[in-house]
Amino acid sequence: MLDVKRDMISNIAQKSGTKEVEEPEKALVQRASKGDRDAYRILVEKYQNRVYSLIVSMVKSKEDAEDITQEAFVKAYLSLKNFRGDSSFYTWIYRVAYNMTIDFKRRSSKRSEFLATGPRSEDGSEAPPLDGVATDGNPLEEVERRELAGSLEKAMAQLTEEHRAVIMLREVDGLSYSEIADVVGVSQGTVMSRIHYAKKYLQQALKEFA
Amino acid sequence: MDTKNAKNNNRPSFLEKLMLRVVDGEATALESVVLKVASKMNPAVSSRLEDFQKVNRHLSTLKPERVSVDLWSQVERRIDEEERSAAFLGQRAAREAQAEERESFIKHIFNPSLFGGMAVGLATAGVAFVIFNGGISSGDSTEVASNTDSAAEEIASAEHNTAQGIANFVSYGGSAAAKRREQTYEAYRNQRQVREIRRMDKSLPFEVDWMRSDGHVSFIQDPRRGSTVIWVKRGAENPNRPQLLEADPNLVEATR
Repeated sequence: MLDVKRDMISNIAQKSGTKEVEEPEKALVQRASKGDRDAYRILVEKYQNRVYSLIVSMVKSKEDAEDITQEAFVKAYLSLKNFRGDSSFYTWIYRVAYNMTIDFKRRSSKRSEFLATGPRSEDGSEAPPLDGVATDGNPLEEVERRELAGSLEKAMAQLTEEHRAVIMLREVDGLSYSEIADVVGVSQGTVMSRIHYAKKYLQQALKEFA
Repeated sequence: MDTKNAKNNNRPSFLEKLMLRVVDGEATALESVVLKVASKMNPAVSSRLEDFQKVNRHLSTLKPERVSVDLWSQVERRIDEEERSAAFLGQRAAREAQAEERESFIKHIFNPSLFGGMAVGLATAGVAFVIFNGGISSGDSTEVASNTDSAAEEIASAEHNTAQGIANFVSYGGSAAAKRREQTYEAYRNQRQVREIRRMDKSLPFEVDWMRSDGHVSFIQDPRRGSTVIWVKRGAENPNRPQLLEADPNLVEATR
């Protein structure tokens, strides 16, 4: 079961264009903790898009998300000596990123403004559909997928950042409930409740799509 | 009551939890079988399960967003900055430690507890002298101890005044100084508050370390009071961050 999940994560990494490496992650983490920059670069490149996706789903500003992603990886590198390896590196880096994003959100007053107005690009127009939505082949299907992507993004934007985060961690990153609980710092029951609430909401919002 | 009901409505029922676990691949084989049987027996369960699966299909179209910049280069540059700063402060700490070692003998001599010990010794010698010679009154030995205590108090007072002077400078002159970013101590060495501190201790220079600033204003002072680093908030990059330009003296902490 765990292997299947790892394969899934690996596939996602390949689909997202990140480089899959042969070297076991644990060895990379050990090398990086001793100051090996090349090893850490591999880890950063492997997880940067997924960490960024999690953050951007919570803050909605790409610039802020890039800054937080950058600082999360810097902080993780400087703290690697304290990483005991009880959890996997990816849940650890997600936790660092998640906590930094929550701190950022607490400091900023953008949240209420965002929730009131929905996702908007910087010039005030409606945000374009997610870049990462899969498209292939049939133009009609592609139009439908774009419509679905737009509706999905709007619906996701109506969720709180906590709900968006668990959905991203579950559906994009393929984390288990216990891993999500570890990242977010809540119980598995709370994770399930959040996922349930989010999916119920999304189901209502997307009921016109087959 | 309504709120309570609403909350309860948001909580997944046992069956919904089961469905969620099954569609998310978290269920055991037994749980999957139970749900399969339940959905065959009850069309409502089957319909609800289909809804969950549909949402999962929609969500499966999501893929990670891509970072549009060369993140690694930026991360590496920031790591370099952090390590350089850490090395700078580390070297500085080492120099200060060496200086402390060199002057430990002098400090040892002026140690109040040593003075206290010497006073006790002198007092004992005085008492012995009185006992064996029957000459001097006991008031003389008290005077020696009193003089020793006052010397220690003087040292403590000088240290307190210096620390207070810095606190005053940071709290009074810190705002103006922080507004003039990137200026060194040279730019405001003649300000009244700084002159006051320099009068108290002429060997006391100031530095404002903008790079390491993290929101706290604090000073690190070496044992000789020869060097002070004040960390000041850099507020310009992120307008959402509070700008700490004027420090509460309570925030000023002497780390040595």
